[in-house]
Amino acid sequence: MPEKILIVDDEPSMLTYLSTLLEDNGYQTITASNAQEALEQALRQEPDLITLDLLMPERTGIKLYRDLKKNEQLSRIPVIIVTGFTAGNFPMIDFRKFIYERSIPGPQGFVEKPVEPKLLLEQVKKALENLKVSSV
Amino acid sequence: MRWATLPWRKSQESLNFPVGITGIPHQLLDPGARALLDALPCYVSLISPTREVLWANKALLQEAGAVVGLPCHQLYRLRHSPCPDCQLGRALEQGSVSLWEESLPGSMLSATHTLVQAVPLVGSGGEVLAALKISTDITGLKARQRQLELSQREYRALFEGVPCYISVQDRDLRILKTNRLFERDFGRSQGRKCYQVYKGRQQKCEVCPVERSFEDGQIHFSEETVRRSSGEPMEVVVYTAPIRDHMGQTFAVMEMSTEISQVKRLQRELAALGQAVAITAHSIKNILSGLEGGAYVVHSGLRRADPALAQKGWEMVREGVGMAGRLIQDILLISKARTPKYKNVSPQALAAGVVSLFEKRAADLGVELCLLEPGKEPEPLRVDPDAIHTALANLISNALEACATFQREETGRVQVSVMELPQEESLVFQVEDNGPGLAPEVREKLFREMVSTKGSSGTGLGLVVTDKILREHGGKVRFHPGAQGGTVFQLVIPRQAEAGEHSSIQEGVPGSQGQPPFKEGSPWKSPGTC
Repeated sequence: MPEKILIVDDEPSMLTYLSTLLEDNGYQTITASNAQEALEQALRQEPDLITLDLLMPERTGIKLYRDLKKNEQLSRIPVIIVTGFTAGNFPMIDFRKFIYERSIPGPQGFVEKPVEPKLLLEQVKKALENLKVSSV
Repeated sequence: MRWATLPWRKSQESLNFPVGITGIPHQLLDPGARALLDALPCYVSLISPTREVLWANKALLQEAGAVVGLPCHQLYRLRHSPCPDCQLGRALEQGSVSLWEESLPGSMLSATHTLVQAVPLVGSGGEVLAALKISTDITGLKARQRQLELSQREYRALFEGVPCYISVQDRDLRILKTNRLFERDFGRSQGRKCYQVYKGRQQKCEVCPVERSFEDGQIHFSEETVRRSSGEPMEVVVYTAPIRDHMGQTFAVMEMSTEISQVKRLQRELAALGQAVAITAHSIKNILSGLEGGAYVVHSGLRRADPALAQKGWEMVREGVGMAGRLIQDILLISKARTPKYKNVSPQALAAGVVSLFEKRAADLGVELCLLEPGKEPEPLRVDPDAIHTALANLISNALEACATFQREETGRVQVSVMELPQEESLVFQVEDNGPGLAPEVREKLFREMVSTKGSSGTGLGLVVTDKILREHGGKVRFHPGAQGGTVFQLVIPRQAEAGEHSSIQEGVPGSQGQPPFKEGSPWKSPGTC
């Protein structure tokens, strides 16, 4: 049974690319293009992992991350942040800092856009392995 | 008999001789007085009322030889007749002491300039017997005085002529003296405080180079933004140097300010250029990764024999190619120094043309796009239609994106309008959206840098292009938060175009000065046509 990954991104081409890439590497994928849809999918489909674009309109990516980590049913699902803006080109919004300094648990991975496929696949693999170890 | 003023009088008796008898004039002066006059480092002669030299001291005899008996004018001026401007009259005829400077263009003396005092010798009947003429050689002094005057003139020319603003200030930062350029640009400032004149403030600056020069007697400098009396700001580099008295104490400080606005502007432009290069590189990286992603999906679709997936991948590739094209266009628009190709066009028709191009895109994004009908058709405008088309298209594209990515109950709406601003003698193309509005950090940056909030899809150069176009038209881009959220962007184009140098982007607040769109009667108040 392949692991199920929920891909959350507001850019359709990004959804296509990530789902194709992950499927080609043996994962089952589902997609969501906004926070509401993502939360519904997560509750209904219980994915093994979520990739999340933090920079969705109106800071909904950040809110979704918090909602996921605060939800008892969903908080155990590893999340890998896939986002474009980091301190390098947009110093005002340092997402990495934002995520890691909060009281909520940090994400299991962080991949900058443009996505380096190898790096993403490695992080996905590692997060899923860690999940298996902890659940055993 | 009495001596007029001579302090060396020893004996009154020695004056008791008739005057005008050549051969014994020296008897007018007693031996003690003569010895004293002989010892003086100046030329002394005794002149009779008939202007005859009765006696000469050693210095004069050594210099001019046997002069006793010669007429005064022959000795001092080498003249055969009396000097028309004879100064001895006051002493010889009026019996008073007089002092004057005498230049001796030709004389039996080597001195060319003397300071002369004439003292009358008065007999017992009050009659003037003779005058004692004491001439001090001030030739060297005169030369030094001329040198001093020359260097003062040079200093003055330098002070007035240098292309700097110079002021001399006291310890209270009160301006004592300014040069001409200073007076031209900052007005007459003597007696006013430095910070009042330069900054229009009542408090002194936190770090003051003038005060530091007073404290340590060293040269200091700082960079400041000051305001001309016309109100126009100017960036200057300021140097301060102490002015010391003969004891070495600093009693004033000279402040020299040089305008560096141009340099600063170039510096900012260079920084912006660096930023543009960074953003361009980032855009290219995004485009490349999009192309890579697309190619990957195409490949995957073919491998899986899934034409629909291959088609999706192909669309991604096409999108990437399209973006590369737009990026190149933007870069070309920014880097080329173009001369606008002016034509008279109807602003409303121009706006309608741009809006129609975006109708399909707006429908795809689920955003309402409309052009407001003006109450009165604006007069034709002289612009480069293609350039203004690009600028307006950039604003509309931004507004559509802002609405499309913003999730809320209300439908996204973009309203375009054209209006006259009679008070600014300008025409305005306005684009208002009901999107999320600009985040403070983005608003900050719009003034200085190129920004994209569209993730990988924006080049970040759109507003830079727009800014450049408006600048070429002598106009400006300005923006302020919309009345119902969102953002209002305006392209303000003067009816009398005059190209400007500075960035054309301006931020405003609704209702503040220079922000007329919410005025009664403007097309904005009647959006019924949407």
